[in-house]
Amino acid sequence: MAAETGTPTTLTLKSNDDELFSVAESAAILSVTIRNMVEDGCAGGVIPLDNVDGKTLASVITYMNGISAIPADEEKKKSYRDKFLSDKDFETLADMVLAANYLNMSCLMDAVSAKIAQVMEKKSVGWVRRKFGIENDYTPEEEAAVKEEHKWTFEGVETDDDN
Amino acid sequence: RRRRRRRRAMAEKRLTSNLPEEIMEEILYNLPIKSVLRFKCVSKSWLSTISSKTFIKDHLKRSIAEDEEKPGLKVLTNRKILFNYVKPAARLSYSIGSFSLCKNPKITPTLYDIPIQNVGFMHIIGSCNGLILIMIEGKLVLWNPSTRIYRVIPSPSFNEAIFLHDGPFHVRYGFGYDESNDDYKVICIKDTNYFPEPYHYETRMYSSKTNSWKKFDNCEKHLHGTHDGILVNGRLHWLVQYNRSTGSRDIVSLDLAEEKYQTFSHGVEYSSGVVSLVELGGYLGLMNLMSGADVNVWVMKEYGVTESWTKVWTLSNFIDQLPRKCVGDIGKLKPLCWSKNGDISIAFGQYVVVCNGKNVLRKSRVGSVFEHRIQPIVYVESLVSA
Repeated sequence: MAAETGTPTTLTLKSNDDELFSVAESAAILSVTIRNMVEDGCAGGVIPLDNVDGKTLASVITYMNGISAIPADEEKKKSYRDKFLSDKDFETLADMVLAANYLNMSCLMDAVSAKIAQVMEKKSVGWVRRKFGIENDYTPEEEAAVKEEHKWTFEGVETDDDN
Repeated sequence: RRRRRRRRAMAEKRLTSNLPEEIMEEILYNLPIKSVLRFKCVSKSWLSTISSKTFIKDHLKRSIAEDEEKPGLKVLTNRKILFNYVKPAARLSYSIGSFSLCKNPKITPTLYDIPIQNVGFMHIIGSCNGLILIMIEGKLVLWNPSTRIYRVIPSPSFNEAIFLHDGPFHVRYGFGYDESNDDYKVICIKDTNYFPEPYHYETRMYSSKTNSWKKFDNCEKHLHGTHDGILVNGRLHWLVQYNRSTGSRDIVSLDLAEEKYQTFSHGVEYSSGVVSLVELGGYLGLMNLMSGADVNVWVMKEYGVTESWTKVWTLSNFIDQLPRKCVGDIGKLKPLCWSKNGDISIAFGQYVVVCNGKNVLRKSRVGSVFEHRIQPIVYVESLVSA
């Protein structure tokens, strides 16, 4: 244990594509899922995270390390989160929101949800369907009727940038 | 210990497709109302999620709670100040705009197209859960400015002829929500005459569920002034005329769910000047403007407890810090928000001033086109419709 050796406890996390990552326990327990495993004593060996791929997990660990290095200053934490998410594309954000949900990390979940919303804000209905993989199950008449009811919300929509 | 069950493994397909509904809702909560409404067109399941009572309720709850968790007024993003103003181009036409309490010295408001064209008096009666009740051209309109959905309420009928557009001189209104019945209610209290009985009223209550008015008990008190009911804690409040012979200083409240009046003492000693009830950060408050430009604000920190009335704000010594233009509007000030850290924002004429009890922290001018003072009211953007 850390108390005996004087060095921080390190956990090994395994992604669903079998990549291994070392991370300080103090940073990793930002995830309630991981914290519960540690408290239950299942963290001795490798912690398998079946729902997160290596690329996303690497990113989440960067976040864990970055945010836990900031002292209790909500303004600074917020600006770290903003900067961390600023260069992420939509697909990465979507992977991260799933990972944050699975790892039960509320601060990351809230920040990524807000970021995705910010990206979506002025997008078209078609863009949302494509990006979220949603099938349009309206008949053309039904869709036109819903659109007609909320006509003004279609003002100022950006031109799609994904095709 | 609270444990979160491990989620069902995601399918092998691209992760971005079909985000679980709870995550999707999380994202939708963060979007502006305009975008949320547009995305009803995405699919039938998005339409049903966004239109559901649960989603609308949770969306509202989160908007309010988020603001309450935040430390200062400058980050109150969901709560906005709604105000009416005279359109500069058409001097007799009123309209409505809104702005957030932000740090910027010049606030750029959002302006709305009001649902009914008007050429005269418009008055904002109350705001509740994102709905506002306004009086335009003698019509009562229940309107959600964020979704632009509105409903014209039928006029109440009284025994005597009543001229609604006589406005606040003869009629007091109150607007609020009865959560137990999911019903938005409007109260209309009309003075039937001034002499010889100064406080003979006729009262009617409107329910959004039935879209109709019913006769309602009068309160047995002589109400002070003609202000509209102040909504706190699911109850509407009116100030009772100070009784010199008994020395009682009372407030009458109307519980919108129980539909019962109650009278309680506020016990606040003010010497002279104008006194009015206010809502501040969810508390019931009392504001007293004295002739010497001294302003005091008290709030009832624990609802219903007379001893909990506390003075939270005094204006006397910082009048010099105010923008010079404000000083003339000293009689027209209105406290808007009281945040957890003690900051209070006050509307003075065309300005919103934020102060921390001792000093003015910042002052922001609302737009630049408004010649007349704004009559602000706090409101939260929501998807609620009545």
